[in-house]
Amino acid sequence: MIRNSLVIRFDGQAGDGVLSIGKIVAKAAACAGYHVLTQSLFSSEVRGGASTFQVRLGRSHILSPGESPDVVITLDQDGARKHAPVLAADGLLMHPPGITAAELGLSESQESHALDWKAIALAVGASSRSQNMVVAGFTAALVGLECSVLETTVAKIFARDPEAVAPNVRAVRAGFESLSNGLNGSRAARRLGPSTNASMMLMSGNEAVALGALVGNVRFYAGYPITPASEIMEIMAKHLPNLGGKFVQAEDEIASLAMCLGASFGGVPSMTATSGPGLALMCELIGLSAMSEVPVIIADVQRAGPSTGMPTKDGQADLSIAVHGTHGDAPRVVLAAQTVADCFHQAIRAVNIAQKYHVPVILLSSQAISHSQETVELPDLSRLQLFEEAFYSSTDAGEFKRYSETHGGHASIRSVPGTPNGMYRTTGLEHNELGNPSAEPANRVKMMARRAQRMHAIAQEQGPIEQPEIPEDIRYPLAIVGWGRAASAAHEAWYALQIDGIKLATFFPRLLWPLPEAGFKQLFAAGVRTLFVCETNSSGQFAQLIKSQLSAQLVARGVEVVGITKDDGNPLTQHEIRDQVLKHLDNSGRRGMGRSYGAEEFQGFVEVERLRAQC
Amino acid sequence: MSDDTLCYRCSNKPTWCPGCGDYGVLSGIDKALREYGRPPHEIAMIGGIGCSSRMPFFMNTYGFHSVHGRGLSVATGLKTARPDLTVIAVGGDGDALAIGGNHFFHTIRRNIDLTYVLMDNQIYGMTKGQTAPTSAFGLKTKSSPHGNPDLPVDPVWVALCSGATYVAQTLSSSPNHVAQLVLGGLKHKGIAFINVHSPCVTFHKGITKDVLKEASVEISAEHDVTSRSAAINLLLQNEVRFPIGLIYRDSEVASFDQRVDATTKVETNPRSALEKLVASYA
Repeated sequence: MIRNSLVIRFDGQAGDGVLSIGKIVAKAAACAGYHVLTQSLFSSEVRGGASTFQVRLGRSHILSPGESPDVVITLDQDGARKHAPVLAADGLLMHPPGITAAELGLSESQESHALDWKAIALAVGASSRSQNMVVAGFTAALVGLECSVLETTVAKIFARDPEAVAPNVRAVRAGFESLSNGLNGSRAARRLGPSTNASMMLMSGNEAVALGALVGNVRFYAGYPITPASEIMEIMAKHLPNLGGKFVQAEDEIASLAMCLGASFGGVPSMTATSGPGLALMCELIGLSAMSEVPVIIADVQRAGPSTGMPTKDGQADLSIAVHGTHGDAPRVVLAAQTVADCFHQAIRAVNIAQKYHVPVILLSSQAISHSQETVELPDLSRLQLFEEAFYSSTDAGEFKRYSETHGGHASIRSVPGTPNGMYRTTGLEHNELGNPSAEPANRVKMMARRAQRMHAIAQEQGPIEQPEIPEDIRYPLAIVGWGRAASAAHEAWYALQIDGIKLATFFPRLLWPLPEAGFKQLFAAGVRTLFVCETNSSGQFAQLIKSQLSAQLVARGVEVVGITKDDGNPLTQHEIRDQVLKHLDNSGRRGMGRSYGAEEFQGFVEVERLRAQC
Repeated sequence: MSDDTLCYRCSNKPTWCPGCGDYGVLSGIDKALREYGRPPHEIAMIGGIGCSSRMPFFMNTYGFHSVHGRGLSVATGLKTARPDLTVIAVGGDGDALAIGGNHFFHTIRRNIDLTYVLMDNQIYGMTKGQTAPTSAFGLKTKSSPHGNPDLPVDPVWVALCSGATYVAQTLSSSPNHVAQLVLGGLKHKGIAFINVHSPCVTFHKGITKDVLKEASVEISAEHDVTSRSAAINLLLQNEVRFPIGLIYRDSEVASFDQRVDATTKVETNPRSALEKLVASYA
């Protein structure tokens, strides 16, 4: 059975090394050029108990972790019982001996086999703990990966314990061979079609944010530990000093951002990362960054709020605080990543915008992206566009006007400390061209306009990058809109609906503030009259933003904004989005296809691909 | 030797009330900088919020007037990212010890190579006379009309106990003494904390320069500034009158940037190191 995409779920007890199986398989698949997306399904509050790890492999871009697993491999019988009910209709369940297919309640089309993972490990002189390596090898054979790639990965993992390498590599090989030996043929095999891609990077969202920032030339980082953002800080702590940058672990998030502003005032691109509670503490300093025009990048890895909320659960409810958080009318830019690859590229974009326009830039990620490992195409660093800020230099001993008038909303040149004849004072007070305090009404009006124009300039430059997709043969005047992780699920739902014959427009912007109005106007011009806005929060924060910013156009064209939201701590799924769209079509009498739909009808994106292949 | 060609004051006139103690501190810092001799463009002064925190506006150096209580954090970021600069932080008692108390302790314990001049007037002056963390117990102000129920905090104690490596105290009415102690701070590698009693003549009329003079005692020449226990004894023996002069100095402790440098190997070719790092994920 040749597949374009496979969802594989591993299950065992905590301590069985389930995570390692997933990571080894993911790494080997990435090396072979397959797209990979992983998801841990265990609850981090609970020590002990079951551990579940899901890996999705594909020949082309993967948008979500997938729903029903095509393959479930368990290290104990409990796991087999637990996951049997969610197995895909034609799925394969592998488990240790002692339980029958009938006991598991599998259907005719489903398949199950028993293999004694521990015995296979022991037979090749490895310890029974190496059963996870056996499973990794078995999985590689099952999906058609090369054993040698796997062996290399395992050797790397045990690099610090050379004596453990040989037995574990033997365990991997034994597992690899157990598909043909133990299952007597390859009827069970779920092979991926050949990969056409070069080897890819595999990393988590947090790793991608940190790496993007480093590539984007961030050379100062101050931060405070917080779930689920801490890994960004840890990577910065490890690598920044070696690259000539500076790292400080601050006493709180307020100090973190204040230190970043100090470093940025010194001309060094600076970043901090946090989650919702930290962003809330930073709000006063976001205003200082906006007022003093000292650029800074804040990565906010969102978690379910409010307050402490659910620190290890996903949410997208920080959009409002990112766009509006602080007193006064303070310019800032808000970007949101939808995938791990996005985390990398949007981090670079965040640095570019901050340094070019001297504004705070908030990059939103979320828990679901932060710890998901995904493949990212290896970038050619020399071809990435990196903004290099030019600083003031002069032999003229006259006063330097830091806030001198500019045209078209562009930033005025900065002088960095250490530059002769460039001394000036910056402040959060309203100030004049020199940076001296001024509460004079005419100056105030001029300076407020200066900051507002900055936002217009950013919108003009960055807005057009955000393009909606409008199919030429659009059949319904509808568009699916989404941001952050929900946009990935929405994108997948769009594929599914297309297979159903429901062709819609889509708009998944990464730039959320300033709102990319041009994209919405294109949708309206194409006849779109309903926007389904997908996001993982209760109040529909992006939908509200759209309504408040585009009210005139929405009213004039009779466009309705329909929120598709969820706030239970887990990311929206394509299934949920698709259901909501179909329900809306039925209720509004627009669908007109006279057929019903239901959860059983649609079992994941894997099927969509199959359907698409038939089309 | 002071260099008269170097000018550290700009044309902005201070906004302080006539008679404010902060004039003496400004004059002392100016004098110290002239003695120190680094050109103004290599100096940055960072303030928080409050009357004394406005000092950067009156200087011909780089300056950052930030937000309430966070001046030390801004200064930490600047000095860490740009160790080549001389960074001076200034602020008042509310800024340092109330809203910024967290950063006061942590900046000192990190031994960031800063000179920090605290101007203590025992009152919130900019907001027109509320009780401050250094206000005396029982003091009646607009925010404590029935008398201050809190005991005052002594920033010198806090600094010493937080591991400060240079601690001094003086009066704003002695600009030359301010200059001498600030100059010592500028030359000190690590955090130099100088607590200056600087009266607010408008909102705390009970604390005048004469009252402060009366309440202080000069540190004797025999005091061993290199001994932490001597420094602590000095404070214990002078609970009624506060000691004036250099209280403690430890020149042996590495500053934050020295500690970081000691444990860091900067790649000779950062560009290729970065490329390798990215490639390591493939």
